[in-house]
Amino acid sequence: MNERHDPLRPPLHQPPNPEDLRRAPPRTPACARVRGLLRDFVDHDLDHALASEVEEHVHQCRACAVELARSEHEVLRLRVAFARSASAKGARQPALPADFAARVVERLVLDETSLVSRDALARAVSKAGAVRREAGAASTGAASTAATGAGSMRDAGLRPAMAFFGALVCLLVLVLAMARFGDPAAAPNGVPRFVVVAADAAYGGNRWLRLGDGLGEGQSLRVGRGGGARVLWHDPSTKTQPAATLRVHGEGELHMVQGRPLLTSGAVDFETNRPVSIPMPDGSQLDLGIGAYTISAGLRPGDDPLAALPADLLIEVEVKGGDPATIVRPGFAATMVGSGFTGIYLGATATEVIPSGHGAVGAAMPETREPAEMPAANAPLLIGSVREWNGLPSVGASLGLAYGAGPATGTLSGADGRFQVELKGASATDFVVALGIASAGRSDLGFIAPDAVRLLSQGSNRVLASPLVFDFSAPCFGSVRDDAGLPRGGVEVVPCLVDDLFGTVFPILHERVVSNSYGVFRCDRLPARLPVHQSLYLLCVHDELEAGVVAVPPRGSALAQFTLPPLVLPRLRTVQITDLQPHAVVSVLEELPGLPVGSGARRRIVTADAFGRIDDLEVGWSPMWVGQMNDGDTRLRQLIVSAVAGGTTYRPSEPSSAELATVFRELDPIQGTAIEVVRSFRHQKFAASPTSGTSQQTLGVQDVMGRGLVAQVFAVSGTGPRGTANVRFLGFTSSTGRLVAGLSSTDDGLVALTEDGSVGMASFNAAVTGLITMTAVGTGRAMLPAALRPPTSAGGLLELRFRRVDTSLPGLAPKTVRRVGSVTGWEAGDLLPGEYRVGIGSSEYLVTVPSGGFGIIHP
Amino acid sequence: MLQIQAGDLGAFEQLVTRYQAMVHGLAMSILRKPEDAEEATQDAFLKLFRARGTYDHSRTLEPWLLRIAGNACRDKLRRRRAAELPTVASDDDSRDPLLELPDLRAAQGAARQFIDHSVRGELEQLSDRVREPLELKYLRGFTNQQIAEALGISVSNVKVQIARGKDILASRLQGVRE
Repeated sequence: MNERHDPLRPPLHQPPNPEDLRRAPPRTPACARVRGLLRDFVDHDLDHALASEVEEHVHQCRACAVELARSEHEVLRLRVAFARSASAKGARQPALPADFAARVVERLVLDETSLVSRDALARAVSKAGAVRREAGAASTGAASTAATGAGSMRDAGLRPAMAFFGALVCLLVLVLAMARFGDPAAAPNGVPRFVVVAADAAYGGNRWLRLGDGLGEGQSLRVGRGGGARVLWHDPSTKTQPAATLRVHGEGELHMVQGRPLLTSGAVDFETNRPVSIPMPDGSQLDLGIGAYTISAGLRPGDDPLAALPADLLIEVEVKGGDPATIVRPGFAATMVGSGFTGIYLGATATEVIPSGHGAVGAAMPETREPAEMPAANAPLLIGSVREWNGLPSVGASLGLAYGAGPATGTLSGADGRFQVELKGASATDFVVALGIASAGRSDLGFIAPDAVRLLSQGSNRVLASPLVFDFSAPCFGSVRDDAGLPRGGVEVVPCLVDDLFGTVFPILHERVVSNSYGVFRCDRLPARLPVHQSLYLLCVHDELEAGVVAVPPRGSALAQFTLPPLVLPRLRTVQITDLQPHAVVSVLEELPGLPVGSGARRRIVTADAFGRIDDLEVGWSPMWVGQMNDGDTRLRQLIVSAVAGGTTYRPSEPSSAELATVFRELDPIQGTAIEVVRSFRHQKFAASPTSGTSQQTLGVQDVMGRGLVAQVFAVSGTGPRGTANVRFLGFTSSTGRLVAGLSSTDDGLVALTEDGSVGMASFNAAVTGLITMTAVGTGRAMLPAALRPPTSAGGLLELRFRRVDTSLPGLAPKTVRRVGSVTGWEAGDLLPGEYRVGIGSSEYLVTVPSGGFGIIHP
Repeated sequence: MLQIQAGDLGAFEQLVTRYQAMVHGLAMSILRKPEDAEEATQDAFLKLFRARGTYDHSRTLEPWLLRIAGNACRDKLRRRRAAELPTVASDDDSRDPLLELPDLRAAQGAARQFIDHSVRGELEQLSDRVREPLELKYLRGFTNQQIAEALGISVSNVKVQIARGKDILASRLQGVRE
């Protein structure tokens, strides 16, 4: 029996050299035993007990010590000999090509088509052979009988007969092979891929593309400005391949998603070989026949790429020839576009069909190798670089950059990880606000959350003071159940960055996922680390359940290894609303629990009956507001409980109503759901230059010893919805801790944030002039006493919800969620000094967090 | 591996990057020609991808990969030998390394030919069955278990071959000194 499959039987030891045993025979049984172990001992292949036995023996036995030395020398001689032999042949480090892995994938991608064909053909030939053998066996008797009587004629008649028989077999093979290929169920599905047949400035699969390269599922193809790429699209079906030839124009980006091309920006020409369906990022679908089409998707001039959603894309479908195309959009009737026409649509607007060449945006898309809009020779540039956590350049990363007074721009990093964009318009900011998404297929690299980066001057150019860094991001696994304990599939999971300090919410929509039928979901590419005092949340949404939010540790932290506890979402309940106007169409906005005040809502549009009543409205348990849907009427009234007998009944509060802007921040819908959330981050508004109504003030940030600190400074005012803060980024202080910034009379205060999380605050009064100094104090920790810790058997992490109660500035009421456990020493760190209320389960406790120390949570 | 089984080429590329040095080292030890080794390394990963549906998640990936890689290398070796020696059956696999022990009693002059040979030369003279475990262990740093998986033999057999290799070298060098 092979010992590899017999774990109970220990492997033999290396036998000693027989010559050595003859030359120096062991003197005792102990010596004999140790001699049999020496070679394994030298190779470190003995377990601890045997190794100790050998060590003890050779310390006492000089003869065995000498034999041990011989064994060690034997191995040393081998290692040296092999090393010299290898270095002499250059074989120790025979260099595999740097792109070996990519080549393997490329070969795999290229081979799959032929594999499918070869397999099918081989089976067909085999089947034909079997048929031929059966046929041969059946005819043997007749053939031998004929041969007996015609022996002299055999040689003369054999060749034509064999030729005929061979032709018959070939025909049979061909027919069977064709039958095999024509049977979709018989042939295996192919691997979907793009095969590059021409490429210029095209990037994908972490390399610059060239003829013959392949891209598979999850990978993307990006074409630089002025470049172009032509690819063959093979889908996973068993139908004619390739399904289409695609020509991607300059600045186009194409992803392979579920075997189909997904155009996220730019323009692509499709020459289809058969009818295909093309998904679009806004949820619509284009059904193409056999013909030539140009599809384009892009933002309108002036749209902010930092905040754009897929629904903001202007999509055009031009039918150049062949079959018409059909545009299928949720909530709209299908629209057919014939040859010579172009269909155009955007967001919630109706589809428009116009003759091609009459204002179609696609006609304005840059043609391949068209003279590019390269920066003028003397145009000032914004230059930076992007790195991965291991120092390697990050190639093909998508970056969003907001600088000065100009509009935000998007760009890609190049082969060396560098990027540069032209600076448009004069600006005085010494920072750029940047966010980054690693190239498609790099699910191991986390999203770079939006943050400000200092700039240095280099002639007329501005250079990022530090590279943008993609950190390793551990995937996040979680599960969703309802309050009956049943796993729930189809739950939309939207990662969100939440600013603990200022209460902004930034949904990371490009990483949203949906739970499977077991209620399980997985999120990749979430931020590995976050700017100070920001948190990562997952917003979970389902039509039949109340929305919920769960805090997630940054994916680069030690806590990222823990699986999230199941998130329980309560099922919706049925309520009635009364006292509305008869037949009024109203909008009911229900706040999203767990997100900052006024930053998210679920919107339901319902119609009251003739008695001004709405029956059987399914809602959650959060506060609700109702507003009329009349044109221009943006007032809301809160819904209050008027009765609980026979089902909960709500009515609008009387008599006052509030403007929508005083209840909720500016909300944007999440495509495909009834959820609307704010999309903002702490640097979203910044002062590019002094504006009217502002006064120049000198601000100082120092530590408790009076030394100047480099810090980010924000102006805050409590003018947001329901008293929340509106925040404006002023800039970085210098190395001496000074910043001259324009402040407005509406500003209530200033907040300074240092890189280590220290925070300084000061109130602001426009009537008082002179230096405004903020002393930044370090963060502290809160410890959970043993009495409040769960039993050891419970394991996992405990969620603590902190709410700071001693607000120093209007609008600022920092909240944060921390998870603690034995791995964190039952401590929650990075907390602003001050008093907190701490929610643990349904109980609430108090803690005072000192700067640089820890406070103990107590009832 | 679950991602790879789902056809994720990005995950597959990461796997190749992670294990390519190990597999290539194995291929170099068996095939001893860089161009063949690179081709066999590529074949090994392609075979792994195509056989991903048969992967048993209760077992670790590395032994499975080593088995596939070892088979790919041996396939390559067989094809190469068939091409190089079309009329002579390859008998290397059936050679007993013990037969390679120099018969010092019968051939006193045989020792003379080793005088100019270094240990390096002796290594080149070893049969593949003996040389491969030695090289994988002392040049490539493989464990006995990894060698066993790659060469399709038991761990005990690996140890026996390594000991034989050491004995052969000691014997030959002893002969040189004598």
